[in-house]
Amino acid sequence: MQQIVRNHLIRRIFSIYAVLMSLLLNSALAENTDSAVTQVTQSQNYVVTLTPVSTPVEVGEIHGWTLTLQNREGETVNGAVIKVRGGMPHHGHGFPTHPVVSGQLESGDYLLEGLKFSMKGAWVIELNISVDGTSDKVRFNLDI
Amino acid sequence: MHRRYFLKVPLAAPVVLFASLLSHSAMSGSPDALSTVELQRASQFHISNLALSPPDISNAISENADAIELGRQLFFDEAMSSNNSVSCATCHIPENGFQDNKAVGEGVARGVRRTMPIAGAQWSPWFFWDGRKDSLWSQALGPLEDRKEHGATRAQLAKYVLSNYLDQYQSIFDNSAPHTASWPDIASPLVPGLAAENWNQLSSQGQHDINVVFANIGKVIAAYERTIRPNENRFDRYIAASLNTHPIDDNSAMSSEEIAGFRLFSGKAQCSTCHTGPRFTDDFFHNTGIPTPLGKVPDLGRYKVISQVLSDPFNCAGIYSDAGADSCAELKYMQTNARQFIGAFKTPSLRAVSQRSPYMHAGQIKTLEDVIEHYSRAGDALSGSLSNFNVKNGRVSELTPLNLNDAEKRQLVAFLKTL
Repeated sequence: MQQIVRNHLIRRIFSIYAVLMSLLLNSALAENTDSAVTQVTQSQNYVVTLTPVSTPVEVGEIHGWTLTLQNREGETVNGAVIKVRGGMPHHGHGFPTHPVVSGQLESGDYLLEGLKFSMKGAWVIELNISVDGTSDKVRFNLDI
Repeated sequence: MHRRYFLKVPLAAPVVLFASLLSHSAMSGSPDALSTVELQRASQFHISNLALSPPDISNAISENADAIELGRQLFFDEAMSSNNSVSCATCHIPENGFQDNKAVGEGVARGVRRTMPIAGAQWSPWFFWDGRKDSLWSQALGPLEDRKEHGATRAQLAKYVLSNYLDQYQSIFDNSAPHTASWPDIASPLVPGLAAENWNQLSSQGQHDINVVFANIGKVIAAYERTIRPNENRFDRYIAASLNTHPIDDNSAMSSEEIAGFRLFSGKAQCSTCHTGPRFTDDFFHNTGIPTPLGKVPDLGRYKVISQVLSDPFNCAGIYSDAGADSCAELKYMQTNARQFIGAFKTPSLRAVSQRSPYMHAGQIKTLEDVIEHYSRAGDALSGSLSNFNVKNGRVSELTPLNLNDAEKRQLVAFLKTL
């Protein structure tokens, strides 16, 4: 019972932390709208932040995003295998390119490479994150 | 999580255009004039966004003046064919916007796809309707050996160019011309029969030498093609005039019907979803339900060429390219999920579109009116099976009906004619 309560508390604290983090980031980015986006994974194991390597992100050009992956304690998660999917659901097509997360940078961040938005509109980036055999998902909805 | 991104579409003259937006007043006297917000949307289509020509890292001589001149000569040389009567200009007719107004190209025989215009092609990452080539120079090689276009072989062309344009070739390519005495007159790995047999009998070095010259022929033709650029159209002039950077006159005025057409184009009719930016294309491949020509087998478009692009010895990462393999981002990150591209073709540019009937990848649709009708109705489509698509009778298309009324259809056609 004590364990359940403790887990529940951790989840609550983690959720509040994630929301606060999002608010802080959004507030910090208020004057720089084409920058980082943060999202909590489906099973609430991780907080994922995507930051364009260079801004502005240009339509029709291949570009990269830095992917910051943190656990509930705000620590960098190492050794994750991250698969990328996505596209324009409203138009029934995926990405014009095949974006990949090939490995970790020295900073501990990951690099999402080869992304291209071929037009303006609603784009979705879905990441499947596997760490030590356990998978979690996160979805970013971007209005390009 | 839903966040709005403000993306910058490349603008060569963004400062002038957007500074002018702030003081937009030129057309304010007209009730039909575009609003400031609409003008901002329109400015992404302005030709000034094309002012900078992207370098072709896979073609080191793409800006070389001698290469441009040799490329121009080869472009018009009818000896670059199996019957001495077909040049690039046979289908890419300069007086016709470098296309032929035929449903399908006609070289030494009748082809299967519509001739594409050349102006602005250099900005595209993929070439041909199905994008089976990844550079302008590699694209130029395709028709030369196509049995229905030039019908030639690379050995014939390499020998011909080194015989007839040797001094120019040597000047451009640092006196690197190989000896041709041992080369057969006809040889290519892509042409069945005698040409393939001859090719297989050549040494690896002989094959490589011919390929180098063949690739260089493509590179000089591409250098010339890069000089063929889209012209300023009336819509460009209207945008500039509305932003006070040009005087308003008969050449820049747009009628109420044409302006209404632009509003539909970038709004209800959703044309600008794919026909975007200064070339009016997203450089991507879509299945828009274009019917198969009567009596023909369905053309599956990009679906059929994914592995061909990757294995092409003349692609950006190949040994005949001047780029390092790591520099070839489009190829490196190419979408290889072929099922996504069943019946998908490249979004064509719309600049000067009214002068380019008939339309679509095999000239299936004769008039702009019928094109608009097709998109409004969003009828049945080419076979395919992707679940995300609009499935009709087991067939797929990305389109959903627009249900445009007759006035709206006329307005869209009127706008397209300003391009």
